[in-house]
Amino acid sequence: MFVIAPNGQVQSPRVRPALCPTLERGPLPLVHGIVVHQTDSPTAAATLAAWRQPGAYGAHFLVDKDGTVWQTASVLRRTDHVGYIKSRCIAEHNCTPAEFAQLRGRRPGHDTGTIELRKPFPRRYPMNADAIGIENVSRALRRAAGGLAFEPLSAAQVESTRWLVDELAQTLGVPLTEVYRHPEVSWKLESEGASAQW
Amino acid sequence: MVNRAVLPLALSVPLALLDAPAAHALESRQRELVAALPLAVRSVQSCGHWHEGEADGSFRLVVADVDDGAGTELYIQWLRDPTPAGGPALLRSVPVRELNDDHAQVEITELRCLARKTATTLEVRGWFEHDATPRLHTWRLELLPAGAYRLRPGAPR
Repeated sequence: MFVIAPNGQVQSPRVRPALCPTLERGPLPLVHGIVVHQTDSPTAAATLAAWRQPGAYGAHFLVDKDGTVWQTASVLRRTDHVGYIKSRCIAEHNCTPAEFAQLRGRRPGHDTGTIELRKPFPRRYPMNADAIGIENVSRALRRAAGGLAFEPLSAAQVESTRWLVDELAQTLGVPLTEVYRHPEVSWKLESEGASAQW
Repeated sequence: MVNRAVLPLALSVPLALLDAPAAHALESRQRELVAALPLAVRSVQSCGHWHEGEADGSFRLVVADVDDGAGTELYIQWLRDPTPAGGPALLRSVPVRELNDDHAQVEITELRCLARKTATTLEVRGWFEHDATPRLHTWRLELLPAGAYRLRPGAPR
């Protein structure tokens, strides 16, 4: 279990600080979930350089290919890493008649997402306002059949991501059932986070 | 001087002829091409002209859906006008990377082309996935010759 400093920094010899205040958007008073991502970048240095630009978008943690874990934002601050969320009740086959009526004919993205973000947790998936994000350094590669697919995580990334998810889940009181790969909760490349395990 | 009362009547004659079956001419020659247009292509439109040295051409804008339309991507194409020496050509096809970011997804709802003799400007409106309160954003792109453009974000509304 982590010790968290008053500024939201994790105190652990395995977590290296690389805080990028440019990623932080506001307070994160409650954490209901953890979302695992993959960047499309060649190195952690390239990602960190991009995340230090004003107005950058990123997550709270970055896992390098060699398994190094960087903390890039305070766990007490929100970062924008999830985007529009899918309908949880549709995915879990438990929509109420009122929810069905609201969602009928709605398109993916803005149309559905703006309905979902008004729902209380756990009627919706965790989102920017209540989720911690973990990014893994990796490339999205063009497939022979067309389109892009993320390369699998390295063995070191799989191990570090599993460790980080477990520690954060224990520390923040998040059940492992509320840990998601990005495309499970938002409309993203299906391969993002597919090789992550926890 | 044109008699305005007669003008609509005069226009209606050729329009009526267009409705008649064309028995002795080629009909809808690009039907297969249009039918094969991928579903992910949301819109294609021309927008202004460019001129560089001896070359002239037009801009073409392509908006493509990603993730079943949850987001979009914008591409600018530079087309060369047909000349006596040859037909039209696609010179460049450039993604607008600032708006095609999977981790900061935009869904374009409107493209407004402002084409003038001296410059071509494109106004893009759309939703942005990280807004806690939904609001339409506006971006302005100045389209330039040789595969270049200049982006200016506008204020959210």
